[in-house]
Amino acid sequence: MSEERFVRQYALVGKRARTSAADFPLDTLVQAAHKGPYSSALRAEHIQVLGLCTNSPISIAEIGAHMKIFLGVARVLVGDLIDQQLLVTSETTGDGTPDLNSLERLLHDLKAL
Amino acid sequence: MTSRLSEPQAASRVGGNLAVKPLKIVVAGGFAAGKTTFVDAISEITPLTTEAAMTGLSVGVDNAGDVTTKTTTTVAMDFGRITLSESSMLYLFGTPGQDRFWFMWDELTKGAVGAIVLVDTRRLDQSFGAVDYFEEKGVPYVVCLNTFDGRLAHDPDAVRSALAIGPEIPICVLDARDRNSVKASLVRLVEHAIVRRRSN
Repeated sequence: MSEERFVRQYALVGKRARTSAADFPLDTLVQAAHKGPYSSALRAEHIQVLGLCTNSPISIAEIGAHMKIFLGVARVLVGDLIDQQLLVTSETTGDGTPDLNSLERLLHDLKAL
Repeated sequence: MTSRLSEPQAASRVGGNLAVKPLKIVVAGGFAAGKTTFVDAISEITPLTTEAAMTGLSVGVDNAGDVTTKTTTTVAMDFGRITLSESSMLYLFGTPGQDRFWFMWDELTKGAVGAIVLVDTRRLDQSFGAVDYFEEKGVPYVVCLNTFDGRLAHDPDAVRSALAIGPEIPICVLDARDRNSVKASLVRLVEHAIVRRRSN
């Protein structure tokens, strides 16, 4: 890979890229808490994240893909915005397999597709 | 293996205020087994690629004299999305193919409904790693034989025996390009996950 690209992206978030995957699983859905205007203290990258989820929730994986940044970097940006109460989040998928109710609803929804 | 179910919940900054909840299914298989084709057939978005990076000390055997070299490894995963209802969103994540990316599989399978193991019957050996991984981690999975040019090099019974998988694991035949075929395999996986959940 391009080492340069890696260094550039991580320079953006610094050592905070160690933010745990347990805190922000890649499928966590986020949505902007409001449509702005946002503080001018926010970085362009933060505004970009908010722009991606103003109207409907998207996952952290999608943020990484759309912005062409590594997941670890997307996690830090999302974490910053959560701390500033600019993003609301979904429940995460948890540790184990979903419960029986969720599975049965999923089965029903899939069949109806 | 039940230990992964009994791990304490990590303290989380994620609040759960949104009404919608994610679900995910992992799509595994060897190189060119059709993972992205599978995802594309049913996803409401063109499959996206997300990348993860990992730095570590290189301790590879081919690099034994230089163990302090810091290396950066990146891994790319294709994924798609299906909005099932106002309250649930299903993500389909393709696993990175190479075995050295197992670290990423742990995150992908954590909390997953289960996994589809896509098999190119001409390259059965490429499925061993995925089958072993899901067996060991106790992740519900189904084996799906992708037909190329409408043909299978081996029938399901031969594949079951070659991959040494038990009779309880469903094996289905599909065309990864065909939405209905893909949908049927997902239904099969969820049915299997329900049976597994009930028996636990």
